[in-house]
Amino acid sequence: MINSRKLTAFTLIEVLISIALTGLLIVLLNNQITGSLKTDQKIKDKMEYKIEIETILAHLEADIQTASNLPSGYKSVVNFYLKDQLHISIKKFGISAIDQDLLGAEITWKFGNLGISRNIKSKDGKFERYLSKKELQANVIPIGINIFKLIIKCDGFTKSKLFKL
Amino acid sequence: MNAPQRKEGFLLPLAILCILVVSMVAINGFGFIQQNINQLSYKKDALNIQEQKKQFSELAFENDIVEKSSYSFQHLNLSGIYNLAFITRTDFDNEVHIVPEQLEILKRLTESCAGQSDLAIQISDYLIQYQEIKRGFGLIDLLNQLSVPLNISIKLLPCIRILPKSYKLNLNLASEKTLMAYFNINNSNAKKLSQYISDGTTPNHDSINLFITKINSEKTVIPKLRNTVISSQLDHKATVLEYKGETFAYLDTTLDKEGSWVENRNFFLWVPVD
Repeated sequence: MINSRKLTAFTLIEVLISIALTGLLIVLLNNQITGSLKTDQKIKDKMEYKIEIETILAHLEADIQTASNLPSGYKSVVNFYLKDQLHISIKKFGISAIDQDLLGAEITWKFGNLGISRNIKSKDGKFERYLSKKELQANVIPIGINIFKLIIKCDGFTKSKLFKL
Repeated sequence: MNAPQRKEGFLLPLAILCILVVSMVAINGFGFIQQNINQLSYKKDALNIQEQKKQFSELAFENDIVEKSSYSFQHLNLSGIYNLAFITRTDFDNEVHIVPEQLEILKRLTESCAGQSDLAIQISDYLIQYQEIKRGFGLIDLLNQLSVPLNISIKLLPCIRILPKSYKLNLNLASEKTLMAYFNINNSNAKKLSQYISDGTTPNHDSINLFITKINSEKTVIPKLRNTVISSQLDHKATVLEYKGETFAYLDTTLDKEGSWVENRNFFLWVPVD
């Protein structure tokens, strides 16, 4: 026996519109998800880079604070540019990694197209360590006799810090 | 009746989209907070170390230090040590010159203390570039500027100091080694002179000059005596801090013109945090 009762159903137009809307939504959602993931990664990268730079600047500040003094009473810190790189040279004391003895060392921070590196020259030898390999531009602006401002710029990111000598 | 229900059905993708956006914002917010919390703990540690350093620095101004079992403190008198500021003089044109007889004293001191008389030339070549030595510049700073190995620097610490010229050599507190180098006399005469200064036999510059001319009639030490003083008053001292027998700080303090002790130069090799 065939049930002859008529069931209300979607019309062909409704089904087609629904399929089209669903397809459109899937495409939109897909774009949104991909975009969100990319934005999320970009934000994470930027945040991580910001923290990386802040940590590096804190490290540089610690080096400057522990630098030896000049007869003027200020810290022994020299800034100069060489091969498009900013060099910050600091004379300080340290403890030898080899024999744990006290030693005098010259620390040179380099900022430029190769990123940021910290170079140590002491009786133990010469060591270079890259703390960031992202290309950047760095400038030093003197503010008064014993204060300078270091500005780091790269890909729309700018960070600056004041250092007291 | 079915038509409105069908319309509401299209809200589901919109709701999912909203959830997605909210979750993205929440994830980023959480990451941001987490990273800032990590930084906060790092900054707290740095502040703790700074606070510890400040507390240790205060010890240089205390006469009676209560010692803890793991810490020890030692005050050193530096007023009887040769001041490197004596080796230069500035003329009316603000030009800096080396004082030859003071350079000879420095040569004798670097030779007797560290076996390095050539170091005196290096030191004078460096100091001639500066018209004035300001407070805050220590001997270790100078020797580090000259890239002198620290084992030699440590030998020189009990023999020379560097301060503004107003900090004269206190002959009453000077060692026999310093007297020998300063007046270019032998060990037995330096012993005698030290004894005479401490018991008051030679209480002033004239009597010291007389003592030296008795030893060598061709010698006069009057110009040298301008940089000296005979007093029991300290104007420069150091405090060495140790933790479990290991030196971690050297605090250098001076007496200023107003008669109060002020920080000259503090060296912290490391800071115990417990």
